[in-house]
Amino acid sequence: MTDMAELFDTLAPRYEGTGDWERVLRDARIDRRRPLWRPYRLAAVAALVAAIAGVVAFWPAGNGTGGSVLDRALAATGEGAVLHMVYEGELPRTLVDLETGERTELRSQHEIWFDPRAGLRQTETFDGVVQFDTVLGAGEMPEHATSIYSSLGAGYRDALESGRAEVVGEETVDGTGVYWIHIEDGHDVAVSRDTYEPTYIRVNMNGSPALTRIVSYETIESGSAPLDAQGTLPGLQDVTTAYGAEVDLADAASLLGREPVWAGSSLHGFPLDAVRSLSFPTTDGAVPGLSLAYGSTEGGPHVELSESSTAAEGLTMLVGVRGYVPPEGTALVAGSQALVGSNGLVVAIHAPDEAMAIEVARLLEPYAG
Amino acid sequence: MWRRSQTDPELAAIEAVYREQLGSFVRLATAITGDEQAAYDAVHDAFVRAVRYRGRLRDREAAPGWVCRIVLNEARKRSTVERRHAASPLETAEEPATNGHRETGAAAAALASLPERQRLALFLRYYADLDYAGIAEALGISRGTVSATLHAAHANLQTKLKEVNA
Repeated sequence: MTDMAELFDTLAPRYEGTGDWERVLRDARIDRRRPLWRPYRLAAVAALVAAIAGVVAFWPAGNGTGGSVLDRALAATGEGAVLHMVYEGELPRTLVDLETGERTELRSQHEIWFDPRAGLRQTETFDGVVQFDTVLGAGEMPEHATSIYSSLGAGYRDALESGRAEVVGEETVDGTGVYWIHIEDGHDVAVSRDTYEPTYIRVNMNGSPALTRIVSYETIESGSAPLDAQGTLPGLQDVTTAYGAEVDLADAASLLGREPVWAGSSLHGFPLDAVRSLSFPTTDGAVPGLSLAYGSTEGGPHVELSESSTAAEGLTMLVGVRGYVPPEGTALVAGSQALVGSNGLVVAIHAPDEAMAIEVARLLEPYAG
Repeated sequence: MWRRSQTDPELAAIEAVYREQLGSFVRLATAITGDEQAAYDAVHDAFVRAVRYRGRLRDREAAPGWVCRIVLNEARKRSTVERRHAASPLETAEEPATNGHRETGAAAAALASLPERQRLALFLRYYADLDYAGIAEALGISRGTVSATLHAAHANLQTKLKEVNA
């Protein structure tokens, strides 16, 4: 079966029901038979709004906006005991389209489920690929994690409820209008001016503020966090790559299971001067690889290609990701390293600089013998 | 009868999404949870949540993608809980009896083996019939990433399906 539509129809048959919108409204505690604003009330309400606006205009500066912002921020936190939040990693990597040169910034996403009484689940994904997935019981959580996540969950709500929180500014961050709310020493939260949901956290450590973007934030009821360890990913294994003997490039297909890729017999006039086998450790045993070095013996622009038919951690971690292969026609760039998928192989490129790493990625082709 | 949605444009936008896309969203949630009743419950709860928090809807044009994002979250929550008790069809689809079933099962397994974002992007495209902007809103990613993700998902799935049929 190769027809996509047929496959998708098989997995989830068409649903013919019409649903129950009234039940949705009831469960959301909305009674639309009782309108919020009746037309005849509008004039009175408009007058009331104008009167309040007039009072606020002459109110001493400080609490007019702040109180409203804090109330709305509080309403946006939810009432659950469990913090469920997704935030972006600080260090971006760049995906480069090798044909157009278009650059897309990618950041890892960290999803946390924090139940102060039951434990913590932390998952990191990079472009949909799980990097880490760990579950810690209540007694296993590091103190700093408990402190930070408590502060962002119940602590944030407590600060808003108790009046300890304070609106300290308003600005636009990456195109998003925010209010900055001071929660405690060295810890501020920015809430969106549109939704009042937390959008950034600013933690000031030793005078150096670090800004983290929050992708989503909610608090949910106790017991809802997926804290079972099923499906979690083991920590990083040994990623030490072992070099083996020199091999003839013409024989490398038997090592890799397919033709190796190369960037030609020379790069900028510097020859391909070493081809060696590699061995990448994995949880299932070592997997073979190949190293091609250009200009390494002639003082040239030392470029090394490391390739394997498997996205071994020792290979992909050269650009700081785990088990990730960029889409065909793109390169994931981190400094002077690049990672590409080519001819069914995963190839890590080490070059003197980013421009050359990208240039080499464009040159890659199967070695035809 | 006076309708509250007449004076509550966000509510009206969410109701329109409910009336137009309930079936699509139930299919989407079924693909994730593996159970139509659980899927319907997830969609119902998602709409309840959307109505309660409609003040967060920034752009009424984006309502389908915004509600779909909530549906995804609700379905994934249920999927996580259900997985403790029974595997979903995507996970049990590997060893069926007849040849046609074997192909379906293997194709489903191939789909299940895709990275989650790729799988969800395909579900959103096929079941929810969202455009790139809607998928971007639902997955919280850029439109450019949607394009790359769908491209990679199709390529990966075709490769895996070819392996199945080989």
